[in-house]
Amino acid sequence: MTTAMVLGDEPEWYRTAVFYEVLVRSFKDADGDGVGDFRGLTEKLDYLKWLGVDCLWVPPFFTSPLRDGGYDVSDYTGILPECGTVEDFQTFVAEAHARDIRVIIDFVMNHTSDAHPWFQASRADPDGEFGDFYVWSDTDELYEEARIIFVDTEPSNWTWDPVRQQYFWHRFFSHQPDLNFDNPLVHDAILDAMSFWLDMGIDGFRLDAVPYLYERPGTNGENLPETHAFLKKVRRFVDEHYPGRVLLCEANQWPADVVEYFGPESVVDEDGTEHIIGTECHMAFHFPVMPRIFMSVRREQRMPISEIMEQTPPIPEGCQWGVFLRNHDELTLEMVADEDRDYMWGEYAKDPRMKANIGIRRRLAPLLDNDANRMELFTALLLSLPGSPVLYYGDEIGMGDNIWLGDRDGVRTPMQWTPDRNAGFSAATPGRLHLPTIQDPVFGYQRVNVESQLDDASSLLQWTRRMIHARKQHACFGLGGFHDLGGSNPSVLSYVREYVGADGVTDTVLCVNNLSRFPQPVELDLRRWEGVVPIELLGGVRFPEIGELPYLLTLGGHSFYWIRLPDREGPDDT
Amino acid sequence: MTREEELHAYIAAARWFGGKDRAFSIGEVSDRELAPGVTTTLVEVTYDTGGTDRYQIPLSSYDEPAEHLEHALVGTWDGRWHYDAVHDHDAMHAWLHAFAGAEEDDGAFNGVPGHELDVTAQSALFSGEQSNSSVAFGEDSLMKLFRRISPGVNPDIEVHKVLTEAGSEHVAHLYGWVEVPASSGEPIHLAMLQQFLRTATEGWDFALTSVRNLFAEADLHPEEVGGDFAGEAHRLGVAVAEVHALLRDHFPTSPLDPDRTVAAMRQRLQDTIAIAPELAAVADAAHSAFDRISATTDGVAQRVHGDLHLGQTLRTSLGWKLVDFEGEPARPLADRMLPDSRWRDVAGMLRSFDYAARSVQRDLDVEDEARAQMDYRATEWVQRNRDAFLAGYAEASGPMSGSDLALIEAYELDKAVYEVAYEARNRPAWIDIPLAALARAREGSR
Repeated sequence: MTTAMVLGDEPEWYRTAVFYEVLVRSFKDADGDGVGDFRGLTEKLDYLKWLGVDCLWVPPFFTSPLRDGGYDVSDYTGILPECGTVEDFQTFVAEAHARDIRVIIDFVMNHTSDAHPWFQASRADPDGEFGDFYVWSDTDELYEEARIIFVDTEPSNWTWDPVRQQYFWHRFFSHQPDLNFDNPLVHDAILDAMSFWLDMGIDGFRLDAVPYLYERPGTNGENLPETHAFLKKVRRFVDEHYPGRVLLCEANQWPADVVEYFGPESVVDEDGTEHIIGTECHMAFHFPVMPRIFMSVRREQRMPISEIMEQTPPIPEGCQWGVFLRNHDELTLEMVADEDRDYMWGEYAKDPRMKANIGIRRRLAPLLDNDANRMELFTALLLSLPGSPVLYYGDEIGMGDNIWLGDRDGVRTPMQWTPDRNAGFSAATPGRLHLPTIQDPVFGYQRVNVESQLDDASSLLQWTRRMIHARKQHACFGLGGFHDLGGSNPSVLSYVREYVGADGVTDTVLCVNNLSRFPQPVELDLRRWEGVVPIELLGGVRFPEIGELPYLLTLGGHSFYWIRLPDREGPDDT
Repeated sequence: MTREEELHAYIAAARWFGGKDRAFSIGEVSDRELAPGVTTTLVEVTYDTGGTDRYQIPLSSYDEPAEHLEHALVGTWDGRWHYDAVHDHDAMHAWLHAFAGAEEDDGAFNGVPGHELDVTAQSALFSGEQSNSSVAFGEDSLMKLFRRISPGVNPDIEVHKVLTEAGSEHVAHLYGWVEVPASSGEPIHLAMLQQFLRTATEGWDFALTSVRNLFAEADLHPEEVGGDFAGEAHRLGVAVAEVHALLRDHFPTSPLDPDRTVAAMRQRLQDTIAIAPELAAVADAAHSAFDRISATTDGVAQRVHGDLHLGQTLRTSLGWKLVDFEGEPARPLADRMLPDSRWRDVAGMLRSFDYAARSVQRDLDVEDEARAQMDYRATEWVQRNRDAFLAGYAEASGPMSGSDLALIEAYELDKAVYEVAYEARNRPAWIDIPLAALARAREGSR
């Protein structure tokens, strides 16, 4: 593996990184076959570098019948032919690294496609090498406490296999049989597959659907101790052979349960100080915060966000949340109470086709009625709440969606680069594109595309870039504490991000967000910073000195401030 | 000027002074040492029309003018500069230390076990407080300094102590209080120290946010807009019911005397018509509602909040909290602690929903047709949130009987009458809000 180049010596790089989720098949098509590929993605690395992206998350591109966007893997060491070759992938990783951009890829370990040779062997020969690779049963009445996730399409978690004359277990689609993690051979096979990609120099994995690895009678089959034990095994394996690589866990659970996926363990250092360290995943997505941002803005009050932050427990040292507004999946509502879910559906999914399973399949811009102020406010929240932000390709230009496409394809349409044919995504005949480009009058590529926004200094793209770069100047966003200031006005969410660096220097940023469409005043209790002269972070404008009284700020509708709170100036400083 | 003249001028201009429209003179002024290095000053106010009140002004005295306290100057006398100590970080720090060192039944400062005070926290005076002064110590504790002082147990302290010890999640826990003996032997409560409720927003502001959100949509119903408050109103109903249950278990109860209750309501109505004659024209519904409760015999009187409305609630990230268990401030202290119907509190909250909607309507100040439309929509908002509040209350305390509902209605109209009197005295421009409520009740009962 000559191209396996690992990026610099920053073991906790992921705690300050800006992530960008990019669907290879929809980003850039270099060979004109209508499907995006790694050569195309490589061509666009300069753009991503310019935007300020630190790490790309590439959802599945493994060989697959593509009945679930590639999450149905039929070969863990092969690449979909239309995405390119293993050599193309290696070139892509090397070119990304050359630009200081890291790459993590999706890894689906819970299940495979039913087209995977392992499954074909397993159903054909129950006593063979792969006979126990999947969860087989003579009855479909086992594990009935486990909920059905894809309620729209799946009546049961068991499906009858006419070949083997047994039921097989699947937590997702019936064409995705779950692997049997009680079989140690499955562990070996999975670790081998991970090594294959780690040896190529990738910087880590996003582990798909990890809560469901094991199933046990009388449980809901989520977050079982056996599942955590296997993740610890994966972590030890990565730490030992591939230090500096990251495991990002997808566990759509409440924060208190998700924390378990960091594998918190207490250790005492030489000085006798106790530390809580992580022994499973380095990162985990914070699912509930995202729908609550939507709820807070719709309700014009901060409680939904304040509450979920209050309920978020501390995480072990060296760990980090991943936060996002939208991704390739639906806007998931599993993590909001029923009453709130009804409300979210009513508000954000006026057309029933916008609903998918327990969620809403829309992109950010259409969800926010293409309102520039709200898109900016949401992005500012994403970039300033605790965790590493994960942007979704196209949202930086305010791309739209196509709710008439099947499953979740409506938010996976080709990236809109130019106003030219196929949005500059592909030279193919338009009919050949694997998904049609967005053509409606509001979000169509003639109107919304990278090229025109590059030329427009006040575009969403330019604004997003400025914000990303501003965030990168301040370690407190990635590493600092979060302190909700509350405040007199329920429509204003104010918090302080604060980080004391190894050099003893404090980096403090006050974030004030008006969740309401109306102008709002807010009085903030900033006594801790009495005597400090706040400086607006983006423009460098000085604000009045903080005194004894509550600090009064006024905000326009859906506007926000990032304000630096530097140390008090000494008398000699002025 | 003399000390008395300075105090007179300071008190007359103070927000917390309750006798604004009355001429008065300064009577006895006494300095009390509460703990080593902590003193306060009690000032007797004698009204020309008769009656006295006693007010508390803790003083910080300096030999030189203290520039940073200029805004809090009470006056200069005896060659020294005297400031209102609630503004003075150093003085407040001394009070906090006295709380931290307090052991029960030993001196003026008393502590409630269960919380270690952060004595390093800096003080900050809350602005906007009406009848008392509140000083926050960092994000750890909050001291409420009572301004108008009367001998006798302070109901707010008494209730908070009980609810704190019962582990209620719906109040700020009590950490301590300051108490000195009066000449009569009764206690005089001067201040209380409570849990600081981080991230709190007043329920009133919270409700107004929802109303504004509703009015901003052209013609949607309250359940259709993003800012729907019904979920919150429901949770608030649960919180109030849970607090009522604890109060019933921990304080004496007695049968509710319907005749006395009705007599008091009728008296209030009659007195109010004297100062606001326009009330007479809309009073029939109140009369008949009062009649209906004469027949109720199964009512229970228990300890209640006594002055419950949205402004007495706080929404924190951890749910709803009730504050200020002092009872109706206009009533004599001893009366405020008498058992009363819990429906008085519930009715107060229902009236508050009406006030919330109508006050936003007032601020938006529209005319003619738009006004009628807004009126209609405000009524919808009020109805939805009343229903949700009552449903939440019933969910926690059990279903309401017919006589419960009759009591709620009577208390609600009685409260509206009280509001008419209050507005007539203090804010004549707002009198339409309770009058309109009474008029609507009259329409409804026809």
